[in-house]
Order: sequence, then C-alpha cells, then structure tokens
Amino acid sequence: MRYLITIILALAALQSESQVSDSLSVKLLHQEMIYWQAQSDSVRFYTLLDKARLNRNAGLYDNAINELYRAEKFCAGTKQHTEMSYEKMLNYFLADEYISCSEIVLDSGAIANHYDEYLTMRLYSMNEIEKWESCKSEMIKACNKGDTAKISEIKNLPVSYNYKNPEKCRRMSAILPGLGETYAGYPFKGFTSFVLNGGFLFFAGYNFYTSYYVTGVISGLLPFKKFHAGGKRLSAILADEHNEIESGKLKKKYREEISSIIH
Amino acid sequence: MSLIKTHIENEKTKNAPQKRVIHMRVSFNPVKMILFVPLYLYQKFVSEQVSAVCEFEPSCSNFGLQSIGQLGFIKGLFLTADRLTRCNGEAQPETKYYLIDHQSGKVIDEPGMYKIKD
Amino acid sequence: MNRGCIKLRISVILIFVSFACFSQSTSFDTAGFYKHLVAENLLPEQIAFNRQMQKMYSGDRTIADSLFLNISLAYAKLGITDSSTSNLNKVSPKPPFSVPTSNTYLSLLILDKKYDRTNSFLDNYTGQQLPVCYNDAALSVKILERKPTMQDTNTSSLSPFMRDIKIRYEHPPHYSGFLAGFYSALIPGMGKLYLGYKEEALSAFIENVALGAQAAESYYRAGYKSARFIITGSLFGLFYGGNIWGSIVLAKKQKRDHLKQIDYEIFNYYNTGISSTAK
Repeated sequence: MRYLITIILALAALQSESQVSDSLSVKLLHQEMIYWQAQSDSVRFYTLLDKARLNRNAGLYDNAINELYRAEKFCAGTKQHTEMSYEKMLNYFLADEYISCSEIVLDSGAIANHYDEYLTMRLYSMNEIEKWESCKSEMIKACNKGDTAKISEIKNLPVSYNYKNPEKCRRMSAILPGLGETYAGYPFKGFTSFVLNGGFLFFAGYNFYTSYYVTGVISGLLPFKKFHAGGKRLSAILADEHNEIESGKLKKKYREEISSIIH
Repeated sequence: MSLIKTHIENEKTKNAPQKRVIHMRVSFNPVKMILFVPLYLYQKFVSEQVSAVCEFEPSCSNFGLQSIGQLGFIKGLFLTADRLTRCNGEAQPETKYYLIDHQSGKVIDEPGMYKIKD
Repeated sequence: MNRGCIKLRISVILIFVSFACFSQSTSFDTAGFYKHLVAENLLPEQIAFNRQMQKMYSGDRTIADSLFLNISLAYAKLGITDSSTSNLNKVSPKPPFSVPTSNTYLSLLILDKKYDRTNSFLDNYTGQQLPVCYNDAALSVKILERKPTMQDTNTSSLSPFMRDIKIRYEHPPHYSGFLAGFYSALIPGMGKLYLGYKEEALSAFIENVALGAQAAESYYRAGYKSARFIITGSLFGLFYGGNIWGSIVLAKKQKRDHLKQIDYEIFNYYNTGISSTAK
C-alpha cells in the first residue's frame, strides 16, 4: 500500500505543470509524456511538432528533424502536411542543408502566414546550391508586376561564372608544367612549378650529358616525376579554389537582390 | 523571420575566404636562420608543388622543425631523414590503430614518441 | 468463521480496493514510458525523467544509485563527460546492483579511469564465483594500472576478448634497440624488418641503395675530394645514419606502442559496450 501511494504521488508530481522547470530536457520530457498518453494521431502529431520546435529553438536542428520524421507517421491532411514540411524546411535551412531545403515545395496559398519566410529560404537555398536559373525565375515571380526596373535588373543577373575545369587544368599542366596553374588564375604558382620542373629536368639532362647516369635518374628524373605529378594535382586544386571564389561573388550578388525583394 | 535573417547574417561572416597560415617562430639566431629559413621557403613555395600529401601529422617539414628543436641538431636531423624514408604512403597499414586520427585519417607521429628514455 | 478466514477476506478486500485506487488514479505506465524513452534513444528526456524520479526517491539509497547511474550513462552517450563523471561520483561506493547494471557501472568507472572505485566495488565479491564481466573489469584495471597479471592463471572466467588482451599483455614484444641498430648498419632496412615493419624496411633499403649508388658513382668518377661526392656522400650518410637511429628508437617505441594499443582496445571495448546498452 505504501508503494502504491508513493507511485500515485510520483505520477501526480510528474503530471503537475507547476513542478516542471524551464530547462529544455524537462519540456521535452513533458511533451513526450503527452505523446505517450495520447489517444489520437492528431495529438501525437502536434506533440511531436512542438518537440521539434523546442529543439529548433535550442539550436538542435538534427534532433528537430528526427522528431519531424517521427511525426510523419501521424500526419493526416494537407494542413498538417504543410505545417510539418514548413518546419522541416526551416530546420534544414538553419542546419545549412540547402539541397534538402530547396527540394521542399509548398503551395503559396497553404503557407500564406509564412510566405515571406518560405520565399526567403527557397530563394536563398537555390542560390547556395547554384541553381541560378530557377532562382532567377522565382525572383521575377516574387517581384511586383509594376516594378519593371527591378525585373529587368533581375533578368540581367548572370546565371554562370567564369568556370575553370579542373580536369582541363590538370591536362594543361601535364603537357607544360605551370600552364594549368596560370590558366586557373595563379601565374606566380605556375611560374614556380615551371622553374622547379624545368630545373630538375635540366639537372637530369646535364647529368646524363656528363655521364652521371645514376645521379641523373635519382636526383633529376625522380624529383621531376614527383613535381610533375604535384603540379597536376595543384592545378586542379587551384581551379577548384578559383571556382569557389567566383561562385562566391555571384552568390553575393544574388543575395543582395533577394534581400531587396523580401520585405 | 528574425531567425532566418540571423542565420543569413552569420553565413556572410562564415563565407569569408581563409588564408593558409604557416606558423613559425624564428628568433634572431644565425645558426637557426641557416636551418629554418630554407625550410620556411620550402613550406611556403615548394611544398604544395609536391605530388604526395603527407599522411603523417605533423607533416615531415614540421616534424623536422620540432625534432631539431626538441632533440638537438644531430638526432633531429637523423630522425627527420628516417621520417622522410617512412613517408611513402604505406605507413597506415603498419601503424598501431590508436595512432590514427580518425577524423583526418592521418597517422599521429610526433618527435616526442622517439625518445630513448621515457 | 475463524480468524484465518476473516484475515483472508480483509486482505482480499484491501487488494481489491488498492487495485481500484491504482486503476482509477494511474493511467500512466511509468516503466513502459521509460522503456519507450530508451527504445527511441531520447537521451535528454531520459535524463529529465531520472531527475524527476530522484526528487521522489531521494530517501531510498538503492533507487537513487540506479537513477544516478542512468543519468551518468545518458550523459556518457551524449558525450558530456563532465556531467557523466559528476553523476557517477554520486553513486555510493558499494551499490547492490544486479549483474547487467553492475556491468554498466563498471564500464563507466573504467572509462572515467576511476580504478580505486572499481577495485573497492569488486572487493565485495572476493572468493566468490564471479560473472565474466566482473573478472573482465578486474583484469582491465590491473592492465591499465600496469600491474602484474601472471598469477591470475584462470582464463576460462574471462571473455574471449579479455583472454586475448591478457596473453598480449603478459607477452610484450622484446626487441633490442642495439640489435635493431646493428642490423640496420649491416643492411639498411634490416633493423626495421627485425622490428616487424616490412614496408618501411623495403623503402629504407631502396632509398639507401639509391643514395649509396649515387655517392659511389660520384666517388668513382670525380674522386673523394670533389664537391659532387661531398654532397651525395653526405646525403647518403644522413639517410644511412637516420635509418640506424630510427631503428634504435623504434625498438623503444614498439614497447610503448604495444601497451598504448592494449589500453586503446580496452577503452574501445567498454565504449562500444556503453553505446549498445539498452538500459
């Protein structure tokens, strides 16, 4: 009997809201208890959605996304589906998962309360994953029809940048050491590569000419082979770096336009 | 909306390009200068041109710097030569598992591990 | 009606009344809820649940110990080692846990390097036929504290993993630095082969032979006073000396590596055990 009474008191204490403190884990526990005791799928769904929001507010985006995946089982109807998808999109966006964020498409009518947020996330994500054609068309749709200046400004935005193919750079460096690096936009590194490779090749040739064959191979050809391969690898890396810088510049332009469209 | 705007503002500062920094403290000592200046020039201009990425942590040039600093000139030089012999892409299979940094995939190989006395 | 019958009827009525009270007031299956939290791996919720339970059972030492252990385990799984340690410290020195719970408790103590507490817990059970996990823990602590284990001849009471660890700990590699250096001086790379590093031995041999051939060519063509021979000869000397010195220090490193590798494997074993703990 004493054991029964203590259990009853414990349950009363657990269920009493006045005993719940403000810390996150206690709030999550409270929500989980409601979920556990819920009789309907709708209650379970909204409890898990609240848990996801609590996690999101605490910056635990992965946990929030896990809760939303749990909530998917109990999702019924378009309203609940829209709420869940919007919350997923927000968490993906805050966790920098722009590909997953851009894949979520919602009906503008259904998302009327959060349309600005939805549009910002969608445009920003498409910009981050370099889908500039789609981003541009959505930006034009989002503009006021009467604002022809803005629309023409958006239409004039480029959809690509000065891309340097890393494979092409690698092949150029294979033919002439230093050419690939120069093509990628780093002439000084190209010059260094040319001097190093040329120097070792010259040294090898000089040694062969003076009949020092072993020295020619070991101190001339082998280092030349290493630096030649290194030059190819470096030109590909430099091409990627160049592409990152150029893409960053274009993304910045798009970000400025996006922030001017969204109020 | 404020949450989204804060995230966008944070992204701007995160996307700023980061420069590669080579850390070397060289006090004005002519003997050290003879040794360390060529190594500094190698690290700055030549190391990126070499085909292999060092599979060890610290890299061979930094290992040389540290071993000469910790163990003295001759021992440090010999240890560096030995390290250069070992740096051939085949270190991982023969390394004890606890010495592999599982995040970077590199083998941890510091000069302090090669002392005669414990 | 005799006294026995009256007592029986009263106890049946009491049981019925208490069952009625229980079913009226309690629509919440506490144990089932906690199992659900564990099954879903909801660690912050588990911590909060255990803390709420602590407020109820602060007087009961046995239950409090279990709750502290649960909280410590949840924090350990979250990777928050400070909180895990502080809760583990609150468990009483000799808690009367069941074998599976003791296994978790011992794992957390070993991962936290609390060897004294592990030993004091295990001292309760000296002279008895112990479960495998207790023997594993006792051996692990001996190895981590670098104590001798040769007198523990009974290996059947250990898990296969710990049996292997025991054999490796008791038979460390005995490589002589002097011999390694001597072999490397004779044939470059042979010292490394003696220590068990085949690939390093091969690369040391090839590099030394190549540099030696280069120096020999310079000597043969230009003589020993030429700048070419001085440079190539010095380079060969440097790598040859490096190979000898490297072999000598590697022999010492082998022994240290051997023990550190065993420590790593022990910690990994207990870490894996903690991560897969259902309760």
